[in-house]
Amino acid sequence: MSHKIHIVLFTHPTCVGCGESIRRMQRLEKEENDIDFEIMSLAGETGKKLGEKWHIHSVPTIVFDDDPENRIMGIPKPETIQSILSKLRK
Amino acid sequence: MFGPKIDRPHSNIRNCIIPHELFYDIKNHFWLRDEKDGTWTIGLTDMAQTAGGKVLHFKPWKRGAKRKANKPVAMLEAAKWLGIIRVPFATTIVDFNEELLENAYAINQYPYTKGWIVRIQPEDETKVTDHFLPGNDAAKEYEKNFDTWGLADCVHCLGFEV
Repeated sequence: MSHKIHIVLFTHPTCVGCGESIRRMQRLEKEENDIDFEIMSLAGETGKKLGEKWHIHSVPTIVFDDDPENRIMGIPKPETIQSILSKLRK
Repeated sequence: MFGPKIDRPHSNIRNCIIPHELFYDIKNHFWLRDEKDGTWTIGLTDMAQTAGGKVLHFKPWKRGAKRKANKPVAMLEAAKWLGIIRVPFATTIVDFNEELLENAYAINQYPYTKGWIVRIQPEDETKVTDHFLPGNDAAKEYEKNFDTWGLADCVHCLGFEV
């Protein structure tokens, strides 16, 4: 069984760019079959706890493979996502 | 990369930015800035924009409207909050931020600058600073009471500026 890359997109009710980020990530999830995509709100208890653990205070922020070092802040550009995914697939 | 950059004295408590040059109503989470011409500008704090969520609508009073003490000077509707801003003294509405009528979200993006809400002129004898805390003292109170007051760590959306 191949390893799936866990991707968490952090959102918040204040966030305007989050809708576009969600749409882009959902498109990506359909295109790539090794991605496990999840959305978490920093306003919810689970998202808040994980956000604190990973020091996420800005939205939208996307964390790849449960490693906050691998993150994109802001609306993700396809080339930036692909660059991180390529690195993680090696 | 983005994130708040502030080059003037401020406190950062749980990611909430509190500029020191402003005065604060720490119970209702708004700030006032002395314009040094007898008027004061009012806006929401970082804590308020986080707690309320996206600000959707802003209802101003007309310029020149006289407001009695504790009567609303501005009304805001946010995703999770319906907010009324009141000051404890009689005042006149001098101006309001017209841009908010089209884009109230500016309050979330620029709570301390372009997202200002209303400008008031208190009655002559009012000593405004008696009613509000200066930034330094407000920051201490926020730090002490952050959890008791049920505040959440501040969250800044794409484009947030202070």
